Amino acid sequence: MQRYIFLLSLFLSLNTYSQVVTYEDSLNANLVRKTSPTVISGYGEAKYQYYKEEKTATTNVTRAIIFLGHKFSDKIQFFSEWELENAKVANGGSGEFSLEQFLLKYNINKDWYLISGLFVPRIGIINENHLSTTFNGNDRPYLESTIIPATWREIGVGLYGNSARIQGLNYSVALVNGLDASKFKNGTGIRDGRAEGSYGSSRNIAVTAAILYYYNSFRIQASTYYGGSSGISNRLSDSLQIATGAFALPINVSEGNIQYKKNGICIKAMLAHTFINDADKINTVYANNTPRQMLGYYTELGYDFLNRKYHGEKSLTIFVRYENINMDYETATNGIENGPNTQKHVVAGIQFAPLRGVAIKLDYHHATTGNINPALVVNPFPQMPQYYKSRNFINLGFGYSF
Amino acid sequence: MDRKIFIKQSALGCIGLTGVLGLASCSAIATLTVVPSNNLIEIPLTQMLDKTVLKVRSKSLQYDILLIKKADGTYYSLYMKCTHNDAGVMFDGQNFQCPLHGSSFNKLGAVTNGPASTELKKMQTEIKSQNIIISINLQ
Repeated sequence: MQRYIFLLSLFLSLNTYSQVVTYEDSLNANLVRKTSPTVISGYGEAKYQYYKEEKTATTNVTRAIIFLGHKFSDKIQFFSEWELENAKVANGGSGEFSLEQFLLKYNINKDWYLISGLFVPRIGIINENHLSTTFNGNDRPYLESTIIPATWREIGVGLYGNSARIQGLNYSVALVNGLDASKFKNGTGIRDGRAEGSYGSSRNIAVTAAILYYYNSFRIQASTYYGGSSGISNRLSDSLQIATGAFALPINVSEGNIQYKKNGICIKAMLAHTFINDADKINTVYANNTPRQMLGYYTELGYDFLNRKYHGEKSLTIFVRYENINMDYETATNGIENGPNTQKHVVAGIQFAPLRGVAIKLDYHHATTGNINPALVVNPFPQMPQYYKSRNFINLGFGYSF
Repeated sequence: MDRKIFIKQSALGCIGLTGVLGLASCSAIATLTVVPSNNLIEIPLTQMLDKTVLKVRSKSLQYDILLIKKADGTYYSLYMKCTHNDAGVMFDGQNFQCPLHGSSFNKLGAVTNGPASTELKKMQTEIKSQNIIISINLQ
């Protein structure tokens, strides 16, 4: 009998624990906090692209991101961004699954906070604010994926704050792992040398700093990055006759940008520059035709026709952007100049946002470059496909963020 | 262009622009540290005689409250927490800016730039016996 009573008690107790407590019930019963300390949000974008010269068209889910954050206390929070690019990673897909941010934030006081982990330093506009609903056009500004290789994330520690004395003034300074010069590629600058949180070289390090200032309808920012790009072992360093250490083979990226936004008018301008003093040494060892300097700028003008009526709740924006990028602004003494590295882009389009978190985008992209340097052609015509100095694309897509 | 000249010119340009604009608005927002009682903050009206905005700070609140005086002499206050994700916003004199994802809000707390989609939290604010009373309600 005692055995049956025990089994019955066990059944009842299990039944109690397996009972479904709905969110609403639990709120009424005060079983959970009304403001959840865990936040899930996300953003993404997809597009159709028609390539006029080749008469081809592609469709792609460019990126889908889940943001997951948790507030342990008012002082300590966790943030992460999980990104899937190009929809498919497995079975030969060209996609990439990666962490874009993975950090702990510590609020020192109401004006200053520390972050530690994998994060995107404040360099350029897109690197920190890259939600697809916040920029015009289907593609991010090309300058901010070439000279500034957004989304540029590294592991380190950063201090962020705002001035209590001057309204609108923000500062940030961060120490992060360095780049890897052996992975630089001609035409993509320093992009492939990023570690992105995956076994980054921490023997070489980098320092970044930014000043961000809001004044009326202006947003003005200047930032710089200075760091080593060689963290190899001493033995390899001796063997290759190339420096290694904290700031060995230094890379310096500097940028300044200004934005104006008022009454539906939005103007942006950015200038970015990269200086690689030891580019010739990098080329001697790694033969990757690294340039000594890269320089670029862009300007963008946009106007929201619905601003007067909806004040941004809905928007219908036309825009035009001009970009001038020179990835071979100065070649190394042992480098070779290549025409495709000199790029000009004109992007014009229209963007409709039926509400704040969704944008439908249509744009026309005209790109021109210099000629391919014949000295760099390994397999000449007819093996090599025709290179178009002038290319035209029509892009149709959407972006969302919540 | 020589690298040193480029960097020097860029740096001088940025510093100059920031400096000029900085001098134009170099007035800091006054901050008043308070201790709420029964979820109420009491601020003497005399504190606002020479101001239109006041940052109200308390150890018991994660973010500051901005108390704003309207042209008609009435007051309202906004909790300086971005409604997109858990981050503090800063007031630049005209707008609230969130440095985390770029959201911005106007002086009334309405969203002017996403990804935030809801306005800043308003705190009930009234005048009683020569004091401004702010009711803290974070639910």
